[in-house]
Amino acid sequence: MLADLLEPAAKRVLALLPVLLGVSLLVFALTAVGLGDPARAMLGQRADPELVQQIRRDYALDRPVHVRYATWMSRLVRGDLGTSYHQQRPVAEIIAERLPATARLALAATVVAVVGGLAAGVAAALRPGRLLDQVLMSAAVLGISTPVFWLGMMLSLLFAVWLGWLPVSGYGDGDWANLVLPALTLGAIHTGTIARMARSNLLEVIRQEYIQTARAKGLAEWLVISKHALRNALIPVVTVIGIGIADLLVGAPLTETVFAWPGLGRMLVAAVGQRDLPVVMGAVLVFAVIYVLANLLVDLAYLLIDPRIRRDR
Amino acid sequence: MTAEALGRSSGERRGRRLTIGAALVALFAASAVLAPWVAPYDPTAVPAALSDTMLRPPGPAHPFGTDALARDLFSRVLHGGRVSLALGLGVEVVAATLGVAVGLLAGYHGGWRDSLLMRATDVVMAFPSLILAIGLIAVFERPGLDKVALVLVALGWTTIARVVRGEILSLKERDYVQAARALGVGHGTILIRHLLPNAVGPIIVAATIGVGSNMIAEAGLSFLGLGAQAPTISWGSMLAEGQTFLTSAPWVAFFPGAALLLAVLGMNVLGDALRDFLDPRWRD
Amino acid sequence: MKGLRLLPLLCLLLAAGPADAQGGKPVGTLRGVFISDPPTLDPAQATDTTSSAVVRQLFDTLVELDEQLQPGPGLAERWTVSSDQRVYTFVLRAGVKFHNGRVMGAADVKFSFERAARGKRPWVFEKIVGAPAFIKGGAGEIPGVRVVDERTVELTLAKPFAPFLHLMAYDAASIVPREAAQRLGPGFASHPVGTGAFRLKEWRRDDRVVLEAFAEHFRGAPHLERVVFRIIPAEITRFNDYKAGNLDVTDIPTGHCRAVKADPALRAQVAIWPTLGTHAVRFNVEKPPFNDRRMRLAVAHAIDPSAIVQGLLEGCVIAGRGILPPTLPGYHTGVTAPGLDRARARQLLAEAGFPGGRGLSPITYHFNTSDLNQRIAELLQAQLREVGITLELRRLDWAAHLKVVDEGAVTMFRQAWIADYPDPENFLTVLFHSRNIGAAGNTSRYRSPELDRLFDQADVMPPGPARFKVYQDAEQRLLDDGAWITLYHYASRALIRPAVKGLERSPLSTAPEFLAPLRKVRIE
Repeated sequence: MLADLLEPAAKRVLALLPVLLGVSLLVFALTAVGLGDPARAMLGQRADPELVQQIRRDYALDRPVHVRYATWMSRLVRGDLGTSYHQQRPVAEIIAERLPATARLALAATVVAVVGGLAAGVAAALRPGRLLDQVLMSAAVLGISTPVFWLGMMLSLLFAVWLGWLPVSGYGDGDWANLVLPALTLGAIHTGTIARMARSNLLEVIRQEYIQTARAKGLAEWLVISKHALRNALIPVVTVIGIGIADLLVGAPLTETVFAWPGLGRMLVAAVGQRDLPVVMGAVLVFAVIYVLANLLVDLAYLLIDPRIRRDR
Repeated sequence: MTAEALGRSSGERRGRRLTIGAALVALFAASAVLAPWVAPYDPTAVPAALSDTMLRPPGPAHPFGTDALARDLFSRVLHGGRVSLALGLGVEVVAATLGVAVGLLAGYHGGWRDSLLMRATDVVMAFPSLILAIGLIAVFERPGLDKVALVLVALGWTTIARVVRGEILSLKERDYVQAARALGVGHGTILIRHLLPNAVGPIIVAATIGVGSNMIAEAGLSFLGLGAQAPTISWGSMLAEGQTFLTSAPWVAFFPGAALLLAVLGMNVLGDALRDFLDPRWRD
Repeated sequence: MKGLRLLPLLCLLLAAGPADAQGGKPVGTLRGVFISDPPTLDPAQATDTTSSAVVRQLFDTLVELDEQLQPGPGLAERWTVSSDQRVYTFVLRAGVKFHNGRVMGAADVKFSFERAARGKRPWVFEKIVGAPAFIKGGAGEIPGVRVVDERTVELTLAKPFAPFLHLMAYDAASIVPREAAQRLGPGFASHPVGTGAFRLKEWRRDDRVVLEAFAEHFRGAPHLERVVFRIIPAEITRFNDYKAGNLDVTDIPTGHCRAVKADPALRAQVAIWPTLGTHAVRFNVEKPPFNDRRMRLAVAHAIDPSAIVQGLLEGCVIAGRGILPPTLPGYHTGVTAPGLDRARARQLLAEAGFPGGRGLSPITYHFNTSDLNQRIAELLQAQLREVGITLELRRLDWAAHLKVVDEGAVTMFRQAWIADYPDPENFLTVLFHSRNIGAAGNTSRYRSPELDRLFDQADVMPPGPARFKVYQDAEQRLLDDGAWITLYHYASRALIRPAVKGLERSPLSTAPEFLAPLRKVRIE
């Protein structure tokens, strides 16, 4: 079975390259031709025009866009992500500092979303139409439509300020207590989506004939559900999880801002604001890699779950 | 639970869901259309005696209270609805159409088409929306809802494309499809008559979720100043305004937030109900 | 956190003498907060307030400003100024140590100034003889900075400049040790070495900056043992952290001023004081319609700043008419500006050729992204609508806003200006001299030979009321010409725990980034 997976896995990893190329090209183009001058942004309210010109020369900002992109690319293939304009440190160093915090948050939020979503979805699907179902699905919609900022603020007020159980903000020294609120906030959005998808697909599968047959044979309900239904219902759910990871990375900036979490999302937003191009490119690249790898796992999961898909590859 | 029992109770449930969903959506649609006539005050007028009437809690004169510029919140929520709903729906219609097309092509044909389209999807999905939004503003030199719509369409088709592709991939191996191919039925017919209707369920669910997420994404971009520019009002820009006063004057954010929530809820419930009617597998 | 709160108690029990005067054993931790991560801790590279807030604690300057903004001895124990106002001779204190143990000398002053002149704020040193050539790369040193002996430095200016001592108190003029700066190169920005009362202990990017006491500071060890600055971008989160007891100082979030002042739990901790900043509306006077003075004055008469001050900002900022803020030396209490007078506004509009606003296309108002700016802009939009002027709002992020404003691609825009040093020159000359058109400060693109003459004249006058009179004259002319419409002057709105003593309410410090010397602070 493992051999079956190897080829598609390898294909996926190779597919990483054009994606990275595409993303990097688009981002570079947009940020480079964009409104706002990194050299000017480095200086304060009062900027000597000659100094601005000099900085532009120092950072090769006066070259045409395609030349700058080519330079960036050539450095990249040698493993050099460049130097931040704003902090004058290697971009790789800056990203390495922030990655652990973002990874912890994204992972924790995914766990929250998957566990919460599946549990809610399954519970709702077992008793469709009943009170539990209505309540859970309303909560799911609430989770999806509540703005991240609002949810974060509310949770923070309740658990951190009024009850004092958890810290208000910050990474702390890496203890899990600091992780709880941000993870709940970030994970809430996808809990709802996963719950709804899980429920709807589970219900669909339950109706199918072979399930009825299995039931008729007298197999215990939970056995039926877990073995047959869940497996097939998982496909769209796995899709959603895959999409969710991308969204998490993108939704992270707001959560990180509310909870003063020192992650990559917040850094990306700040770098865009400062027109710190090397940092922007580095961060986007990292996001893209994470995203593609996550989808690699998702696709592998597909293959494991549904044998029929394998044949086509 | 026998099949019969399932069918009867779900028929009732279906009917009730349809009513609730349709009612909510109709309510919002109506208030959006009728806003200019129903709204008691001019939503953008700032009264001269600002400090007296700003940030008033809900009361007889102002059912939803007033905001930081002493404007009537109820009128603003009504007017904001026009923009938010139109944006959410409009973007989703375009994005879903694109997404379905891509998903069908990729899922059905497979091979190099699939790879190419999925690569494109990957590129778009790996692309941070924030950068696209700022980039568009940079290129056109002005922020606004039209840029927001562009961003959301450009990024929004991917979810449905993936869902459709996933469905098609598993559906196309089914016996009846194989049989149809064996009988020589054309690709197009198979896609439209056999595969698409079965994928409709997830598409509708994804699309209704999509409308809601578009409206919420607009709120997110508004936080960063990339959304509606005054005097245009949207629920998103109202939420962005309200977040400053979350603890001191919560109604400023609460009412547009509640409106957004209910609108999204209505969409989703309606979507579920529609799915029940459209999806052949759900019919008894 | 709880453990740290017990520490002062323990130390009080164990300590021998009073921890009152600086020079006792450092005790206690001040927990402050920043809005964003400082990009650099190198005084030569810093251009923002956050970096300055930390640099001020890690480094010292020759001259220091007290709470009344008067220059006093810093690293220099005394100085003399020549009769022609051009030569400043500073005598340095003896035995001042850097954090690395070495004693500071005059050579370090020359090195630091030349290094900073080639940094991001060259304008601080431009007045010194030979500096412009050095900055451009032509010369190998600044001849105007002369090391007389181990403890004496002589600075010669090309022309007299009254606020020069203020420039010497500016954090760009901090003294750094040559060997550390040369050895670390760009790494100096994250491993700063200075003479300040605190040194850098830990810097977790985007999370916190931790300073620890430098016991051998030339004024004696500071009272505080540690200072922790957490970095919290969202203002409500800072507020929540303060309420939860995790911060000792913070700023009051926008829109909460009245509520906080009325809150019995917090009202005693509120501290509001005027600072040296102004929030204004400016015009590009090169482009229609604001090349016409009548149009500018029409807008000035249509705006009601009190709605902003009393309403939006809940009376927690300083109302003002002039360009110069009230705490600035040289402020003129008698300054007048066009006030709210809608009839006059309509009349001027008609005179300019747009009766009732007819024929006038919508005017674009540019401002940078922020909740408050958005609300102010909408208020202005509503106020101008009353006289028939339609405002189209254009909200851009900071970097984009800077670009369009610097290039003159704007008609009417928001301008905030915060003093670098407390002198009218830093406002008026920088903002309106024709040589500063563009990014250098004159974004109005204002060109007036008479005003240029006034500015040049005041530049070289000796400090005193006569010099201020010249600036006040210029200010009044600018206001009469409608070149600048002040909406309000800045105030620092802070929450400070009662246990925190000695934190200066300096007009240079805006919460939460206090530029005041933290060595004077103690926690009781």
